Amino acid sequence: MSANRLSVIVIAALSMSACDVAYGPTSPTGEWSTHDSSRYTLYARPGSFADVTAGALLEVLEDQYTHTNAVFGFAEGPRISVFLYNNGGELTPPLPQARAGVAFPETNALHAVAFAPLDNDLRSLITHEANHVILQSGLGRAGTAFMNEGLASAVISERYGEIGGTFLSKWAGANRSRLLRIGDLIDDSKWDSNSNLGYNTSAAFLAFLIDRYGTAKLRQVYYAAPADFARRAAEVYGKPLEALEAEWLAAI
Amino acid sequence: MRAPVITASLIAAMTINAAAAAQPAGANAPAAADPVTGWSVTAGYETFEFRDISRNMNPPDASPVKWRGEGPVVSARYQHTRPRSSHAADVTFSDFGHFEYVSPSRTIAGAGGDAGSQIEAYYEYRRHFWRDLGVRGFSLGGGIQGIGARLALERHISTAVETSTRIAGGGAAGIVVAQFDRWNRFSAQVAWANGGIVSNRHTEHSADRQSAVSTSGGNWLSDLTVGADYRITPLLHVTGGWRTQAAGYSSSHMSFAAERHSITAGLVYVR
Repeated sequence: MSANRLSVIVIAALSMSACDVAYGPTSPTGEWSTHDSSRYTLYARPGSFADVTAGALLEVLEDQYTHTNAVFGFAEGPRISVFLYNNGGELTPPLPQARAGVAFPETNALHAVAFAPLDNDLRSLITHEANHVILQSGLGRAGTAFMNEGLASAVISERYGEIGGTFLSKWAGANRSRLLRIGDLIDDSKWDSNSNLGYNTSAAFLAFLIDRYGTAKLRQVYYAAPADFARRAAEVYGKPLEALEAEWLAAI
Repeated sequence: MRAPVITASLIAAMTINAAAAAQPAGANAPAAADPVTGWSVTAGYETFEFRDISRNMNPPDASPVKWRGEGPVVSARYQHTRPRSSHAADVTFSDFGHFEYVSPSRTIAGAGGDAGSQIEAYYEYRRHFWRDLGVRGFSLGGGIQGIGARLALERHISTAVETSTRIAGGGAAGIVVAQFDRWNRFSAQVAWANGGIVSNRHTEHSADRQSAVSTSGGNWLSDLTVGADYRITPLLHVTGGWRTQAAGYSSSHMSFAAERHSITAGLVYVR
C-alpha cells in the first residue's frame, strides 16, 4: 500500500470519527401552542392536557419563581421557556421515565412530560426543573450534583401542595432506614441521576440546612466541589458533615 | 453541551483556490510547476448558536432554545502551494453581539451586554491525491490541521448579574477536499474537516467569587466550507465562501452544542 493511500485512509478515519457532531442534537418538532405569564412562556401541544391547563400550570410556576427569589434574595431572573410534551417518546432522545423533565439553565429553558392529572407529582416535577434555571441564573453552577439536584427540590413552594420542605421532612422520617449517606451523595462519581432516593435524601438534608441555618451559609458551600465539600461544610457550619447529618436525622 | 471552541477555520478555504488558480500565465506570474505563495484577507458576517446539553448521549439531549448571536468575522491566511501539496496558516477572529433566545415559535431578546468572541488559528497541510478525476480539473485530496482556539462568552441574567465562560485549547482535525479548477480565472472547492480539541474552561458568575471554576474538557468539531476564487490579475484574486461549523463541548457539569455559519469575501495577493 502506498504512503499516499495509507494517508487517505488515516485522514478518512479521522474525519468520520466526528460524524455525530456534524449532525448534532435534534430540535423540537411539530406544532406548539404558546401561553405567556409575566416570567414564563409555556409551549404545549395544541389541545393537549398541558395546553388546556396552561393557566393553572403557569400559576404554579409563577408562585415558584416568587418563592425561590424570596428564599435567596434574587432581585430578578430570566424569562423561562417551558416545553411540555404528552410523553417522553416525543423527544429525541426520549426522556427516561413516564414523568420526567430536564432543565437547560444556560438557555433559560426546560422540557418535561406533562399528562393528567395536575397533581403533586406534576407540580413537583415542573417546579423542580424551573428551580434549576432560577437557581443557576442567580447563583451560578453548583459544585456537586448533590447540591444541584437537591437544592432544586429543597426550595419548592408548598402553596399548591405539600411538595416542599414539609413533604421532604415527612418522607425522610418515613424512610429513615433507606436514606443514603450524605458523604456518598456529595461524591459525583457515586451520584445516580435516576435515583429518586438520592434526589429526595439530598433535598431533605438541604431543606433542613436552610431551615436551621439559613441560605447565607448554604451559599458558602454551594460551589464546593466533591473533594472539598466536607471540609468546606465543616468550616462554614463549625462542625463536621457527619455531625450535621446526625443533627438532621435527629430532627426528622 | 461542546464548544466551539473551536475550530479550524476555513473561511479561507475559499482562499485555498488561490493556490490552484494562482498558476497564471502572466509575465509576472510563476510557471505552472513552481511553488505559489498567497496572502489573503477576508471579512464577513457570522452567526453563533449555543444550546446547552443535559444528557450526553447520541443524539444529545439539548435545549429546545438557542442562544444566538451574530457579528463580523475577519480572517488572514498565508498559503504556500506546490503542484501536489500545500501548507497554510490561518487566523480568524469572530465577534458576536445582538444575542437572543430563539425557540421554535418565539424569539426573546437577550439581556443587554451579552457578547461573545472567538479567535482560532491553525496550521494545515494538504495533499492532492487524485487530479483530473473523471473530468479535467477535478481533484480530491486530504490533509491534517493543527488547531488552537479560544472562545469567550458573556451571558447576562440581568443588567447586574452575569456569567462568563472562557474555553481555550488545541487539537487536530482531518480534512477532505474536493476542488474544481478547470478554467484560467475561476476555481471552486468544498472542504470538510472533522477533529477534536482538548481545552481548559474557566467559568464565573457575578453572584460570588467562589463560583469561579476551572476544569478541563474538550470537543469534537465538524467544519464544512464551500469557496470560490476569481482571478482579477495574475497577482490579485477575489475570493468568497460559505462556512458552517458544528461543535460539541463537554466538561464537568457543562456540555453544549454550538453552530457557526458565516459568509465572507476578500482578496488574495499571489506571487
